[in-house]
Amino acid sequence: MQDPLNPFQPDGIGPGGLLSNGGGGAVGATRHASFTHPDPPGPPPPYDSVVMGDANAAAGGSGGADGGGGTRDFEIVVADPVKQGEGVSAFVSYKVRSRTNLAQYARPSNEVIRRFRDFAWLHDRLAEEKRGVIVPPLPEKNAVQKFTMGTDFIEERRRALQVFVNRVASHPELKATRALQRFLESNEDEFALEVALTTAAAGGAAKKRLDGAVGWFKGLGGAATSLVAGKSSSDAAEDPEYVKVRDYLTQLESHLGEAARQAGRLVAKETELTEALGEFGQSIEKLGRLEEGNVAEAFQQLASKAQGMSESRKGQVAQLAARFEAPIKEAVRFVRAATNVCNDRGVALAAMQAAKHDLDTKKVRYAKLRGTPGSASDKLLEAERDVTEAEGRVSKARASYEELVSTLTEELNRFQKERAADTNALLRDLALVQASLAADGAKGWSALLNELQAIQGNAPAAS
Amino acid sequence: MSDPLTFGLEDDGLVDLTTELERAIIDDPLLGGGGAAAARATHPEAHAPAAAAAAHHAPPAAAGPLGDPLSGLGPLGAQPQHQQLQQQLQQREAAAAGGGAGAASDPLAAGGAGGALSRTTTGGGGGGGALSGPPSGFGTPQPWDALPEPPASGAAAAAAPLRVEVKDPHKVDGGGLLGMTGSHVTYLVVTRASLPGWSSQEVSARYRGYFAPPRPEKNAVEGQRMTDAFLEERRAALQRYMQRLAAHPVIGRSEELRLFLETPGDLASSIQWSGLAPPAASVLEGTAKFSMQLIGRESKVVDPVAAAAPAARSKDLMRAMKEAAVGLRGGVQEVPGEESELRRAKEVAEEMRECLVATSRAAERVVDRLDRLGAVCGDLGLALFKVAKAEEAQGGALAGYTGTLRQSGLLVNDEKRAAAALVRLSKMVARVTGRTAQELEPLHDYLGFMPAVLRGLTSREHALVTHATLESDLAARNKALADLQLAGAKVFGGDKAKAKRAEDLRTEIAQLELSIGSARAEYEKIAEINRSELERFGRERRAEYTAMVENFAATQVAASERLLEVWLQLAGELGAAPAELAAIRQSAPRSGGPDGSGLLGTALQS
Repeated sequence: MQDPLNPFQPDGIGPGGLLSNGGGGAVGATRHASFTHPDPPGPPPPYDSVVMGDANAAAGGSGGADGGGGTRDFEIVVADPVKQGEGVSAFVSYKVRSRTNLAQYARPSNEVIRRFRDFAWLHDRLAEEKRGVIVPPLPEKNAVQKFTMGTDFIEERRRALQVFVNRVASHPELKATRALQRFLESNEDEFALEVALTTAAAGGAAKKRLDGAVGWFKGLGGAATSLVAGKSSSDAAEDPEYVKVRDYLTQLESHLGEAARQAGRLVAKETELTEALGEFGQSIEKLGRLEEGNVAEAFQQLASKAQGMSESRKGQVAQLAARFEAPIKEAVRFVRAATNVCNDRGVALAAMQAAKHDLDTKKVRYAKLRGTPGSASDKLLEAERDVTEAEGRVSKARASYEELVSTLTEELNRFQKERAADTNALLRDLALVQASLAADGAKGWSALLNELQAIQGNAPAAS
Repeated sequence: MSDPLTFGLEDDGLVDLTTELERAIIDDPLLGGGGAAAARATHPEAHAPAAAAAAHHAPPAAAGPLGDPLSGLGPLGAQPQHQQLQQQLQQREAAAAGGGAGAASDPLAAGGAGGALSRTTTGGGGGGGALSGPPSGFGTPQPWDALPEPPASGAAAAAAPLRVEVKDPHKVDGGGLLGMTGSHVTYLVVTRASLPGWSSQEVSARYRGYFAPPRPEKNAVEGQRMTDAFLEERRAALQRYMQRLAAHPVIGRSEELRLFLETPGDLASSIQWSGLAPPAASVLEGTAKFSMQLIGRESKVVDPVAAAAPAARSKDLMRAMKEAAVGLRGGVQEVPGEESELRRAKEVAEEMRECLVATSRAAERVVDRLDRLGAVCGDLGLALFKVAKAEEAQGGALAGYTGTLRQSGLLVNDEKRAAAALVRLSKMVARVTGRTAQELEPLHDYLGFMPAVLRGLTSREHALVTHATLESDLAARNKALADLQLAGAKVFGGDKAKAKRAEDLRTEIAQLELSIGSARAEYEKIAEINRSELERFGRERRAEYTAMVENFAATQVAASERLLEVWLQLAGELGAAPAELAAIRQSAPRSGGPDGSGLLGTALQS
């Protein structure tokens, strides 16, 4: 994993230049294919290639076929976290350096200063604009850790933010969005203005995910909650296959959450063992000072090896945290993001049904009025207009729902393919980091064994 | 099995440590495998009555099993149906021959062998036997089975005529106590968990200046649990204790150990055994004497026999108070040259104890963390397995819905592979933990040893205090006598009472001089013992430490290499680049040869 593009590594923009991409929108299917596992004989793409966009292999194939039509669009690095302010209002700012070959950007490379809040703004804007898209998840907001702002926490978050923004930039639907461009390009004043404008437009509700139809639906109040809360009523109209998918995602989230928790424990225990080893080395060293001859030397060697290994383990355990724990946590958040989009779909469906119901009511009223002799013509006219309006709302809600469904279906496809590759990569990285931990152990301890033999050889025990 | 390391790390066919231990004992050719095996085959309870009868036929006091091989033959004849007895007989002959040959050089060893062996036959089902064979006669001890042989094998092994095994713990009905059997202790000799009469205190009282090995901790709470794991732990601890006692040059040949190992039936009911207990000083007697001393009826002067015994053991309260006073005044001021050397040794021992406290704790922590790490590996494996299960059961829905069947299959596959590897690793780490714990045991052992060392060294200081106290007594009396004589010279003709007083003083002075000589001799004896014990203790400790570091390193190497293989295999299965795998493999030196054909390589293939 020496690829400089790995966003989980703190390196700057890699010297490799922009990589070739699978091509434009028309080749969406092939793009997706490039995220999948290759057939068993070939190795799967490395984790970074998945995060960053396309793999070298795919570039060689489809990129060449396109006549070099597509190159990788972005390289983004989040770097230089600086703590700003003190106390409760303290926050960390990051430099977001990007290089792009998209024509709509004024300059090919940009550097802006952003804070977590700005990343959150980007996330929410995308979720709002591109409904049905599974927007890559942000790292969790941890109030307690934020308060202490330890360097570990800041570094962990910096890496997670880098992964987030790169995932956005490699997403076919999200990479060309205005929000991303503003985020990457605008200087602080422009960006602040943009944020203010969009926030105002969204009525101050940054989290607002629902378009007009749903907003209107929300206004229905009581009827709406019953529809949203129980899946039964909306599920009746829901595709049964999709219901299974949604249930699967919910289950997956809980199981994956447990796995992520255990991954965290694993890293914690590795850290503890590393510390214990160091302490053991220290106390053995002291004990060795009271001994003499071979034993003193043997203890000295044991102490130095134990302490040395404790030191070298530290870096590797950090690697384990970055390459296994962080990705598996991100995977959980990704599944959660997918479930959120599924909820949106449920809401959209409910909205459509409510609109239909409303239309039916209006229709009945209109029919009643028409059937009643002597109805005032203006009332009749009003009822007719109501029906027409309701019909409009229904078709709008249906369009919105159907668009969401089609986007979501494509997204779930993409989601599953990425997840397969990501999971493979993170498990492989677990194995690789652990293997080098073990290799280090083998190296250190057999060096000790050799030293011990040398000690014995130099001064054979008096017998 | 040439390398013991493959043993515990064998991945498949994982054998429990206890079974390993038993096998090691049974397989040991010289320890009378037949005996041990037969003892296992015949049920202990079924065996007990016969052995009891045998023991009654040969009362130890009358027959004197030590050195009388015929007494051993009696019960032997009574139980001819046991094949292993034939074997033991042969062994005994062999041992006798060996003992005869070695008698000139080490008579005690030969005597010990004879006694121990006749004991074996009395035991009937006891198993192996305490052989005074050549040092190699102990077979090839598995590192977790026996104390590591000191490298200075020549002298040390010859000085260890006894080899004690504590095995076959089984619960006695009702009592819930530990049945402890040594290779020459019958099944009748049960309830040795508390080792009556063998408190370190008493051992050190009788053997002043010696560093008596500490008895295993008695844990009341755990003692009630009596789980198999606990029994095994206790058994191993007792065995180590007995081995240390037996290996001790003096205690190993003591009457106490002989009686302990030989007395059939309940030790507590043995008259000989209780006769050995040092006479405890009764407080009542001491108090009565004290009041007599105060009014001058009883001699205030310590007699020579008492002077050689520690003050704490004597019935003499006045003496105890005087010595305590000397101790309070800062002990003996002027110390002989060699004494200061021994005091320095005590300081070192105290420092060592401090270091051992820290080291023992650190070692414990390493083991504990390793243990937890193994557990977490298992937990993570299980969690991943559940993820895979969920994917498998329901992922088809998403796969069918989105057309990602292949990805779904790969996901499940990857997760299952990782899960299986993690669970496997968890088991390996657990075994490594067990081995590591055992290999670091000497650190805990020597921490336990330190109080005995300090006690041994302190008893010398006490003896010195006794000596100094007597000296000051003598000086006081000499002065009193001189004063008396001075006064007498002034008063011409003297008076009778004063003459009587002078006479008394002279007697006391004479007695004190004798006592001082005795105390001096006692002190010098203890100092000499201290010196030799320090030397022995250091030698044995260093030998064990050396073995410990080596075993520890070897285990860690083997464990790391084994873990490395599993991880590399998993990484390969998950599609890691071969070059990357090779790079990691390269960074670890392989003990089993460059191509991985070594012990771990073969273990991997099997």
